Amino acid sequence: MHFGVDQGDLAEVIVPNDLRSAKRAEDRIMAELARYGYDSDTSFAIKLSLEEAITNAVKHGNKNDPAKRIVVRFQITVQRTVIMVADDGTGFSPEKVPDPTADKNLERPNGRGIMLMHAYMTKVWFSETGNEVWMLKDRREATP
Amino acid sequence: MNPSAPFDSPLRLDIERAGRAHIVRLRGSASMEQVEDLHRRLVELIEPAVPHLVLELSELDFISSAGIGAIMAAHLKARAHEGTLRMVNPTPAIRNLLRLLHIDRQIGIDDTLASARAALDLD
Repeated sequence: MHFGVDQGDLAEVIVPNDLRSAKRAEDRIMAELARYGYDSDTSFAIKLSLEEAITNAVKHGNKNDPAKRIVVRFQITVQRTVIMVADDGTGFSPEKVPDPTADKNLERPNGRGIMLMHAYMTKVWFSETGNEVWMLKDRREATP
Repeated sequence: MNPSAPFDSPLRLDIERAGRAHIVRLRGSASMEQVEDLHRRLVELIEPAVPHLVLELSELDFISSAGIGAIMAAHLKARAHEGTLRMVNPTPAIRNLLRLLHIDRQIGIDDTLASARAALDLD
């Protein structure tokens, strides 16, 4: 259980390990946000963080292996959104990802996603194994 | 009927040649499944005879860090050919994203297409 949500209360979408397939999970979440009337800034923050988590899972977690899969679980209410993204990879240490805003790293192609998840979501939690990320967005919180 | 989902418009690129530059108007959402294509198309536009790239962003409503990575790849290729990439009039949400990532320190942002054209001496 994370952020007070029981696993049984989460919707689940399991997709093959590619970004086109993963878009199906995103489409379901974005449709739910629209149904609950989330504003543009909050929807932007959630879509951005979700895409960062999925892209990390597909490319870095599952290393673009088409035999692997991505699991997305979510719960959306009027007050808040909880999303979990998991991959089949061996995980990583988020604290070892270099600061993408440091001058020496500005031109590096990777490393921006984790920083953005922390900036745009209310809370972000990585499992100890590093292949599962949980994100919470409180609808009352302003975007950065 | 459910309201339509936000940031769901397909990405469209309208490309115009202006001397030694291409001007690209990006419209819609640069969602994750379209970023690889965006990367390829932007980088392909830059060549020795056309080393400058202007990205008009006023109708781009979403981009992730992967999409920004595509813009950075085009910026680096432009620089390698002694050209320049400039961005024009991003939405407040995207301007904020560029600021958070310090991309605005790397790539010039103009408020109008006219000022980008003037900066690159295209007129």
